[in-house]
Amino acid sequence: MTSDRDDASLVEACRAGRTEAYGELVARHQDRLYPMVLRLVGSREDALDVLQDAFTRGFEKLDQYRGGSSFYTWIYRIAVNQAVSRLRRGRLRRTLRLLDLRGGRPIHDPPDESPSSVPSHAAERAEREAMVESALAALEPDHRAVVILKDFEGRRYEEIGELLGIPVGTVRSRLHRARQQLRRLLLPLVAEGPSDAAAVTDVEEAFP
Amino acid sequence: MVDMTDEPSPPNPNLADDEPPPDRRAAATSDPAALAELRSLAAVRDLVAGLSRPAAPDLREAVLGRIAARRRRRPRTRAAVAATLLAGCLAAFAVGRGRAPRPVAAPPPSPATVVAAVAPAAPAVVEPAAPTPTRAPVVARRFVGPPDERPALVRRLMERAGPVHVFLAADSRTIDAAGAAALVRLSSRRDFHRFDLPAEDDRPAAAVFVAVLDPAELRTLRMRLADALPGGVREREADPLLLADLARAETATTLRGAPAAELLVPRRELAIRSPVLDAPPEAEPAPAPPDVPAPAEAADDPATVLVWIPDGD
Repeated sequence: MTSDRDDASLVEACRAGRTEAYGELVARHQDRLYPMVLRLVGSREDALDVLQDAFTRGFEKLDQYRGGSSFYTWIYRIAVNQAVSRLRRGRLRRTLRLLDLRGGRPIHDPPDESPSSVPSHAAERAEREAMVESALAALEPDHRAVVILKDFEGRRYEEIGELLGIPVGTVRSRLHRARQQLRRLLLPLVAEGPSDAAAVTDVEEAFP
Repeated sequence: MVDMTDEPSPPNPNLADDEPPPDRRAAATSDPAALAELRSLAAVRDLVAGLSRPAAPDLREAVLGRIAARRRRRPRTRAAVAATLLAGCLAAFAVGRGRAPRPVAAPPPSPATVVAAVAPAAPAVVEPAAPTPTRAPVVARRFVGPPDERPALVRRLMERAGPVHVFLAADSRTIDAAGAAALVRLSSRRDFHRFDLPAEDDRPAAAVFVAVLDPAELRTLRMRLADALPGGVREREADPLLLADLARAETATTLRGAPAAELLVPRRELAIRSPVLDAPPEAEPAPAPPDVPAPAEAADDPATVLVWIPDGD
């Protein structure tokens, strides 16, 4: 709540003409938004560009922010829209094809390996991420958006439907088809069984 | 509420739903095949969920830079849009008032073809400065908007700050309105506009030409004005008072641009580049005075240009 109040005061400062206050809002929220945008668009360069666009657009639309939700929720919606638009425009296709040509090497930031500094573990995890990223790149943009918002971001169906402007039933069906396609593409990983990072210990855990 | 969807339903809805009611959950887990399917899909879900979440680099500087860049760009764009809207409105105004567009004065041919005129007493067609081929009369486009938005559009023009170049003839004895019209016509590929202002208080009557010029056209016009006005021409940015005068124009005339290339030989050193054109030729290039803005040729956006010719009579 304190954070929300602080955000609100920063928004007011921006409206009063103190543009530097917006820099503080950017600093506060960029780390929470960046992973989502990165997984939606698939490349670091595009993610940074989309996120900068989203923040810039947010500044220009500050007069439309009424404070009914948190600033983060508001800017999150803008960032999702920007990322999905970029994805749909297909400007990333070339980058994503390059990923295939490069043998599935990761095109995103290397993962944080703080739990373990063992090189083999890090390499294994990086390879797994690259495979997942490559599989995500093969999805249709609308399917990728749903699976990222649901499985990576943990959003509920209603939230995803609202964010993407589609019915909940469409969210469900797209999610299911996206997962089926991913399963085919990631068969080696799925067949491996649960890993330490992705353990499905019982049936109940199959349903979040 | 009916849950509409534009996609076919999945074969087994029990497997497609991460948030099923208890009865559907039980149905899914009672079937071994469905259970295996469920587990594999859950594994996929966990692979996606387990992707790393790298921190973003600091975007503050980049974002604030973009905001600043857009703010710098916006006034110039607004200037062009306002001038274009103003031009369209003026042309349309003539039609909207049921007034036929003033025809081109046929013989003799005019260097500044009149496209439309708006005035209680529109000025005569600009006198010819040089013989040019006769142009076919141009009829203003059909006006589809409100009958008269000129006041609002002029106000929009007035509300802009900064991006308008204004050339003020320091000595009107060396150039008249017809001559200025010819220079603007030769420099502009777009139609441009003439406003005739009455004398007010300490300001003499004036003819003001408003054009939207690309950077190269602006450079050309600057050179031509410098050449034609040895008495000096001052370049400055528009201020609200200056623009407010436009709203009191007695007449407004739309003229046809017809760009022409020509070889210009500056009569004085630095006459082309210096915004202060009346400096003595032997003087060192002086820094621009603080009230003379640096020309904005670096940008690709068109600029709005006003050429202000006071009445010499």
